[in-house]
Amino acid sequence: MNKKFVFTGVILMSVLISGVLLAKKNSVPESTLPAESLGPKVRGSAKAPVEIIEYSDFQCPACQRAQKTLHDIEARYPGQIRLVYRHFPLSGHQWSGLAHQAAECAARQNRFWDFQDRLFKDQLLWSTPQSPADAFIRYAQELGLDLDVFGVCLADENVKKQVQDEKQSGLASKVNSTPTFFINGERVVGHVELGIKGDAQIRKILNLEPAPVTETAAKPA
Amino acid sequence: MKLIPQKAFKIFFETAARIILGSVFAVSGMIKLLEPAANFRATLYQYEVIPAVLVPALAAVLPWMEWILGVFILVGYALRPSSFVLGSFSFSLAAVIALSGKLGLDPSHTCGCFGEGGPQLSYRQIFSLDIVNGFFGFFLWKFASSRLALDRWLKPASK
Repeated sequence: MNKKFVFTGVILMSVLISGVLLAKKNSVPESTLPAESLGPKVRGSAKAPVEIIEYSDFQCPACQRAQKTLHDIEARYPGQIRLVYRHFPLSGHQWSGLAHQAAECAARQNRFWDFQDRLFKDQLLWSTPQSPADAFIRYAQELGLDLDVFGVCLADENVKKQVQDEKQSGLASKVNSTPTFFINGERVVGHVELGIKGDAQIRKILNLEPAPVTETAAKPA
Repeated sequence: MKLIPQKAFKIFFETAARIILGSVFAVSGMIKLLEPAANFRATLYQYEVIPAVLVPALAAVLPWMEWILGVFILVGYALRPSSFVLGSFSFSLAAVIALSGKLGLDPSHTCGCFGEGGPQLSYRQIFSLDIVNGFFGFFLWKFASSRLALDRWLKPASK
């Protein structure tokens, strides 16, 4: 191989690699702690040593799968986890915006977690071409929410703005797919990695021995 | 008389193939490299046919390969081998997508995994794009000349 060819290759590779490394230096780091919680969607003790911030979308199947992993984690480390929910309705999902707005309205009547459980449980039922507004009102009714307040809230532009503000806080932290979690600031993306890396991360924070491989190596659901 | 349009077509097709294949991979690699690495790992985990144990290594290597070889094709450095690697890679991706679909991976798995700000491509569209890129890659590997390529300047004697 001629020397000029090799030398040019080395120069080219150096330029390409250093260009990316320089650009990366100015971008958002891997570990980022997003801004403080913007709404009353927190589960767990304020003194818990592990804070999981969850950005998810109610119409996303992977977010639905992540719920079981999250519940397992909370059960495995009782009193050690504080879960903070942030809206991240994806633009490709037709009814996400409305679902998140409805959940935010439930949050304002302190029933966010029950409402989100119902949205995830019935995800396939309301993810249809027809508007799911009636289904959301039915869920609110079944949870005993004040329907007048809920109805006014659903039409409130400020609620819509709050949902978008939360999404913006995610975009600012380079969240671009759901679910994305920040475990004490450490980014974990997707339900599979939550089961593998997330659990290991939590054990490290709690100064626990690494779990046996069979316990942490979660297979995709 | 007939040869001239054929030659012109070949030059046009070769140039277009280089621009499209090189740009798609260079841009795609650059975007992945500037994003947090966890985002791409999550995308790879979605393709359940890829063994989970390989995902961290693949997520670390593939974006660099796409970026560097994509630019190599654009500037015409090691044009044929780079085209062969990216062409094979494109066909491999198409196979992974097809296999995932055959295994029942929900095609509605659109969770912004290709970037919320980027194009929202369906699995079928990604599959088609990979097939087209695969053909471009193999065409360039077999037939590319060193026109407008660094290769011509670097290896004048062999051409």
